[in-house]
Amino acid sequence: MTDVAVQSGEEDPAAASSPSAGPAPPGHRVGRWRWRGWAVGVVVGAAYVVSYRLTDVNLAQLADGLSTMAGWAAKAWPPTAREFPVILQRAGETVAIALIGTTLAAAIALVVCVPAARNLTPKWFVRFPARLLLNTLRGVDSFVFALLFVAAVGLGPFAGMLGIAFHTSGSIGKLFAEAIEGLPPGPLEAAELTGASRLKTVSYAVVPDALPSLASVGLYMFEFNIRSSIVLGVVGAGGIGQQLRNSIELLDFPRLFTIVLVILALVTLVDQLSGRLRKSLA
Amino acid sequence: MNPAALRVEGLGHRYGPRTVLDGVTFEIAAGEVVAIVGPSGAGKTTLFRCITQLVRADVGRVTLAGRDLSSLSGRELHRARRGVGLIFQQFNLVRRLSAVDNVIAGRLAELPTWRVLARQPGAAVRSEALSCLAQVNLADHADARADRLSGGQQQRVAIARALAQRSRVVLADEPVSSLDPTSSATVLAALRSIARAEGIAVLCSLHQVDLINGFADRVLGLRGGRPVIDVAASDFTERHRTLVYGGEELVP
Repeated sequence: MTDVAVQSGEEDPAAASSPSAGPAPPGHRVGRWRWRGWAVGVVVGAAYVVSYRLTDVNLAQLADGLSTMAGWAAKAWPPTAREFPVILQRAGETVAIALIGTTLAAAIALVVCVPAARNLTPKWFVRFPARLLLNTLRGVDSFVFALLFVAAVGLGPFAGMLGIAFHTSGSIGKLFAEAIEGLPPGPLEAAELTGASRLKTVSYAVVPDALPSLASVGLYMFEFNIRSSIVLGVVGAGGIGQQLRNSIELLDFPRLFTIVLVILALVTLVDQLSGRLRKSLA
Repeated sequence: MNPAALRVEGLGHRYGPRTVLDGVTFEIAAGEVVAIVGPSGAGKTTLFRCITQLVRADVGRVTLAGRDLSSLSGRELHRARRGVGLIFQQFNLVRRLSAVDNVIAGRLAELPTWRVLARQPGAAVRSEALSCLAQVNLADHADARADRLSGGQQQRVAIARALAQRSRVVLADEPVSSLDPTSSATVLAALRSIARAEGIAVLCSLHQVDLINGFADRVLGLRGGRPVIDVAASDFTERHRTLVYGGEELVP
């Protein structure tokens, strides 16, 4: 069905531009577009029907589940301060994973973004492998990397940090390259015409103007990684997520509630601070 | 006799079927200021690109202080290019660096790599850059960030950068076309004064012929890529203007 729609779309401009055919009668044209609209509607509708089936949507189960969860919520009150110091320490671990992981990722990205940026590396056979590397790193989620590293270096925050660093270096590298490509070409061209080497011209004429956007990207990814490193704890890669999982498994709801509150406070605090810093960079 | 600072002989270039330069020949002596005028598309920018060898001309020769640039390539061309300072319409300063750091960019090729990376050019280079800024009357703006300066001030920083590069020839492509009249006057005065003080040959394209007076020593006119006039600025008359722009041009 889509094939037919695409073909008719291609015929239209050809018919209009051919001088012998002359302009198509307006009624005919509108009819075609309407037909195409229906076709698109049917395809999208079908996609929803199939997806609804595939996700096993079951409202009765949801109603049951909600009442169970309401029971948990009732049991969760009041939150407990029993293990508060441990929970705070784990939260600190989560921040540390995100901080070291993002910094390592930015260092890797800083090296790879130069061959990946079109304006710094016009040769496609250098740029292509650099882009491929970044896309591969970005395409594999930190969660997947963390699973691999847990198997390789054992349970704990180190595996989580490595997972964050590998995935994020791809994302940061791509954003760095795009930030550099967005710079005006003039200053770099002017520096190159003084006859200086590539390393010198890039570090002198590109880095100062790119620095605020690079720092902004780094902070943004740090915020993002605080949230991912919480999830990483669930696969045993350290941090507060591990405590979250323990509490669910032990059905210790007051403790779970405390942890959720700490996570909310942490995410809000980091987002606010980092958001403010990024605003001051703009 | 001294060789001319810049000599262009029989330069010609085509983009596909279109002739953009045809038989352009002139010389500029050290310390001489030459204005080049012509309507948009007359080939001024292509001429500049051919002189710096960013575009290789189809025919003709460009000689810089007796050295044939057209025959150079690679590292040698890179080195020879240092003798040509460029002034752009859009200034092309690094916006977040200070005025003096932008001037130091003119010495980038000679500075050791570690000094560039650490942004520690050293006292000698810095004081030389400061004196270049003083020559364009910007000594008291040395530490201002480039994007905080007015357009005219930024363009004078760019002139100081060309000075720091110790260029013997400065090519200025429409350096004042985005500036107001007062700033234009100070920028052109700065160009003229460095030409006289340092014996630099200046080739400067202009959009407005009324800026020639008091700035240039000589005027070249291009029309359709062909040189149509080459006269002393004091001899430039209405008749020459018509030769370059045709009758209908409305420039006052």
